[in-house]
Amino acid sequence: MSESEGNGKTTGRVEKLVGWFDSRLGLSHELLRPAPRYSINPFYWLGALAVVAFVIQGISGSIMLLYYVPSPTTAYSSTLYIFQSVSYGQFLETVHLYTAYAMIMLAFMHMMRGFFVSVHKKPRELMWITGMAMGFVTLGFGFTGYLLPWTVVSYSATKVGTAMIGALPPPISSFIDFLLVGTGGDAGQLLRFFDLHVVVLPAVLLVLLAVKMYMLETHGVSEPVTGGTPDPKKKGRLLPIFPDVSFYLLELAALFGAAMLLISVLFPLTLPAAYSPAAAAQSVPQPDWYFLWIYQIIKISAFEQAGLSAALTFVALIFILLTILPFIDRGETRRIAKRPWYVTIGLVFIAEVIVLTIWGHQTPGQVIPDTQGILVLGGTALAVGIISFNAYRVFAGRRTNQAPTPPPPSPRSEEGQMHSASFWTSAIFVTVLGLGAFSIGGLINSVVVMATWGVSELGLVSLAFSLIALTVAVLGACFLLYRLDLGRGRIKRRVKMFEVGWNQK
Amino acid sequence: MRLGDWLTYRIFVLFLLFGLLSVIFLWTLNPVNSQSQTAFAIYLSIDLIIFAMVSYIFRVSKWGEEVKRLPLVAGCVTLLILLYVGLAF
Repeated sequence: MSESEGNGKTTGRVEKLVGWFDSRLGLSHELLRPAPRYSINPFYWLGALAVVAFVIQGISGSIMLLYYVPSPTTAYSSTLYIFQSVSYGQFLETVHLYTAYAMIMLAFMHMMRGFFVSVHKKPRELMWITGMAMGFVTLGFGFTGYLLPWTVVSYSATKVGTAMIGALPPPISSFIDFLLVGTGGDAGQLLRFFDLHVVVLPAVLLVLLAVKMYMLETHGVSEPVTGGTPDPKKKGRLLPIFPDVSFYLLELAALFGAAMLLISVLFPLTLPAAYSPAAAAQSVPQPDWYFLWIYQIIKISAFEQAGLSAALTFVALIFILLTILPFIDRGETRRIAKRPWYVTIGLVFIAEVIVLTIWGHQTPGQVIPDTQGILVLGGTALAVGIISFNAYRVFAGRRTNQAPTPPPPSPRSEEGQMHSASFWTSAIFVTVLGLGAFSIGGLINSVVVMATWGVSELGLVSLAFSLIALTVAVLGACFLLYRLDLGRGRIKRRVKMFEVGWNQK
Repeated sequence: MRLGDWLTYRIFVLFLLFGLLSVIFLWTLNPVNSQSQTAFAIYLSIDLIIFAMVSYIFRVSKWGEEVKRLPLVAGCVTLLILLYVGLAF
């Protein structure tokens, strides 16, 4: 047998083997559908980055699992052992914590981006609901993982959480109580939290991820909301998942990983004191930052009086509304420019969550008087609402592609009209500049004062005035933009209020 | 490629060399010492940024698009700062 015949036989065998595997596993078929070019944008991959964070947590958590012992007597000491004696132990714990925070933040950003660009609309309703379920599981990771180091902070915060669950209606509370607390005292509870954190929740999340990926393969990536179908030769052209899109994802993952590492260098983790009843009696219980906004709502005096169940019903209502959003927001348009109400509600929600979180951080353990609650929450909603609607009116007019509408002719002389227009524009410009400087200065001042000396009536009044000034300044900025467009004849939707001095008869 | 093949591919090779050196350096660190862990995090982030930049050049070249100046310059500046900070440990 010649050498070439031998080689041919070997190649044939290899091809046969590859063919056998291919026919069983479908290796030569595309596993994932190609992605359009317009999806090469970080905002399209926020959910994927949350999955990257989950993978990093899985790796770092698996290593820590080798040393951690889930028992009240050894949980803290084993955590301390990882921290002090295990190779790169401090690094592992820090990265595990910050990627957990990043995962929660990315999941929230992913949800809000989806809300604004209407990814929940037909035919992706179930994708949205699955994503919401994944978000709840992510919060569950945070809640169950927080107790595991058994520090005084984590123990007190978990007790607050479990007390909240106890206030839910009996069938729900008894089920969650069975799931989280059980009857085994502290040891039983820690073991349940550990099991949930390392077995149950990861398994549930992976199943939900598989379901969501299946639906993504069915429906594909959602189209951009700018209107019109992307050109198939440019933004709309399809890119194969491997290597094109995979490399892009790896780039994002690498940059995300680098950011996490650098954050862990800048803010190294320090382990709080171990839990003991005496230490717990001296500490003010406070949940971790991602639950602070809920905790702050519960601390408002009206809810304190009405009972914990009323506050929790209110919070649950927010989550339920978000989950069933596809069946509430049923309009066909996905364009941001044509959904002012929903976009404004989304912006108000984000602003309220941020304000409540910062406020909660500044007022640990304090009951919030109703007046303060109304002033801060109402003021924030009002300010964001006014800014959003006015920005909408201006930008919705700017973004139109229709033929420009020239301003109606005026009987006044051209020179007089220009004089009046420029007078008003200049006056508003000066006001915007002054109020902008005042509001930014006031905001910084009131935040610094309250951060240093605690929340006071004076600080809150200063904050409220600063927010009002900021609102007026933003309104003024909208006015200036409107005037600029008015001069260029690019206005579609007229706002009479902004045309002062422009076209007086 | 606006930056020119010459420059882009030399940066590509330089990144790979720099990344390799950084990975070798990682193995010389004391894994329990707190300061070494900080250095580890910095040099690992340097490697990740290098990987992202190499991948960017490869991907954009494959797509027949321009390698933009801004990501490369921003990446190089970040790498220099990190290298400088990393040397302090």
